[in-house]
Amino acid sequence: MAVSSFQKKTKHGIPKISGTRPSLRNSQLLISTGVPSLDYFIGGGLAVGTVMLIEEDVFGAYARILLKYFISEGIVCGHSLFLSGGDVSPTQILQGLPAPISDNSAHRKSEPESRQVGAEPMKIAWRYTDLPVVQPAPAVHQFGHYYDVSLVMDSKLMQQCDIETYDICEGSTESPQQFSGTLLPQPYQMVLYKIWRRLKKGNFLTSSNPAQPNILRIGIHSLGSPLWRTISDSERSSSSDSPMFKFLHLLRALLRSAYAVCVVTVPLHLIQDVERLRFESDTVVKLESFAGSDKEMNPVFKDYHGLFHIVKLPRLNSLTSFIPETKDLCFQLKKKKFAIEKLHIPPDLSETASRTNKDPVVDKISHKLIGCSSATKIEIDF
Amino acid sequence: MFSDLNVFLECEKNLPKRKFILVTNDHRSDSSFVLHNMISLFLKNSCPVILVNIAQSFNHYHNVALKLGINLKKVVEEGKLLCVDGLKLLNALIESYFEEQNCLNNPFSFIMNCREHSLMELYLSIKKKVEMLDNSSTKDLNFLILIDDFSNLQSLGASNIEVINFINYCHSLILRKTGGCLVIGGSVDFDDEDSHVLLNCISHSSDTCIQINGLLTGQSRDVDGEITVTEKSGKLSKKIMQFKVEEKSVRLFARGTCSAVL
Repeated sequence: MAVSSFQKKTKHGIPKISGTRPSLRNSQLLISTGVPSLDYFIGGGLAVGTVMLIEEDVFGAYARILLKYFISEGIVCGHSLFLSGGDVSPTQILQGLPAPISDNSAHRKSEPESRQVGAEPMKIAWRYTDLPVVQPAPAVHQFGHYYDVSLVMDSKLMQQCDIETYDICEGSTESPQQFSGTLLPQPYQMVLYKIWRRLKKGNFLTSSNPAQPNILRIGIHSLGSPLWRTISDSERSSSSDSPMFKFLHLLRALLRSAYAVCVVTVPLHLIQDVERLRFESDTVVKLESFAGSDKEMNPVFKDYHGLFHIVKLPRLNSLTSFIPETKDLCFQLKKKKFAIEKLHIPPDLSETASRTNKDPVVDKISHKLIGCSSATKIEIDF
Repeated sequence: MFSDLNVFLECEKNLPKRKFILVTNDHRSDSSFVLHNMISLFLKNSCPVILVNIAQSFNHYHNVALKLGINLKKVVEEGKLLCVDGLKLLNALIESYFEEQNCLNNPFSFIMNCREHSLMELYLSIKKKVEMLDNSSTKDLNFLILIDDFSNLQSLGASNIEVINFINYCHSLILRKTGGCLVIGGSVDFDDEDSHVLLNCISHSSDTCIQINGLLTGQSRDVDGEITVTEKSGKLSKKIMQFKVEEKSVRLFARGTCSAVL
């Protein structure tokens, strides 16, 4: 008997995990960064098994907020978490997580009303009474949420999650686990060990073939800050950054075969060889905040808090990487949204330049002119 | 296989033999398309390939090759592709290290203690693969050794001298009577003196340098960058073209003649 060679194509490669979606481009599994606009600009989200590097702004404040969003998103989606750092203790970061803005409260109010309507027998469109009421998609399957930075995440929600923290400063006072030989200098080795143990025990490795795979979100705050440095490693090699590159490469090797994503923030001004750091990570974004810089006063940027640079996007399973529409991006932290937008100059709507009076930069220039010449303003007539 | 690129590299008719080709990129560009092209070029001419992947997983190479019409996993079964899977070996090393097992026979054990000749193990594992090819029936054929990123060796803690020695040893593997081709990729940070010195030393012993640079004027939607090919053996020449990598192909064009400009 001839059997048709046609077979229904079944998607067995990608398991279904909450808070994930497959990429449209290369069938990679993606998770949200917790900032929907950032997801959009980096091609849908972070691919599972990759490392994202956030190059911190000078004060590190906005990078920390991005990291918090990443963790909050994990808690809302029910992912497992691992958080490490030294500059700010991980428990402190966990205490200050932003709370998700739930759409459910709005739905709940409307529900009883619709039932009341349904209870009344319909007179005109009676055929439709039997139709089920359309339910909005449950929030659990939503990809990417918005958070309110003014509210703190409910501790009950956090207790449901599997969260592990490792403070490198506390860790140094404990006696670290000893291994024969050294793979990495101390804080790095311990962090890598904790991550490796977590991946193995939590069945996050793809080789373990878990029935119900979950995602492990790893957050590392201020990697490479002075607290990560030990005396011994600066003596041994000329470049004190070298253990960091090794750590990142080993971490990437680990994650490539695991259901895990790592976000690392790095204080850029403390690092000598930035390019190599970028070579060793998959996605790289850079925050440049206006706080304390001349740009703060610039009228062009008055609506924004800083510039957002996409430095590198990963090439995964394909020759090309995602190319965003534009690379001129800026960010603005609102109460309920970390908005990343295309940078555009506000339109000058007024016909005559009445703006010059309000324009702080022009004011500044004209003040300088007073100092060096008697003419206050040079008017050019056409 | 990218026909444009092969014509440009002059390897569409006869495969490079007894040649050491260095492929580098700067921080604004990516040279992996040249490496993928080399793998599929050799495999399509039924020449065996030894792949040493340190930067990307084998799955990545498999998926890209699928788009170019080759099933690498099948080729591995046929014995035409021998793989030294760096990422897998690093994983195994981490595992055995943390479980306090002996991991000295791992080719990547050099990352634990940097001593002299520390990359020897990695070289020996590549040499073993070459000997496996010698024993098989495809004796007279050309073959390819491809190391995807030498700069990762440096990141993993190997010193410049060790990397140079390692590459010279690998070079000796293709100069034996059967012949072969060595392709080594790497990312170069020109601000860093250390990696610049390393690049100069390696390119000195290479026969062909393929340099991929991003555009100096910034990113463009229609042009990915410039490709510079410097021939150092045979006829000496230097050629520059601009390129654009697409999903399944690469377009090359003379400088300033991309379709968006004309």
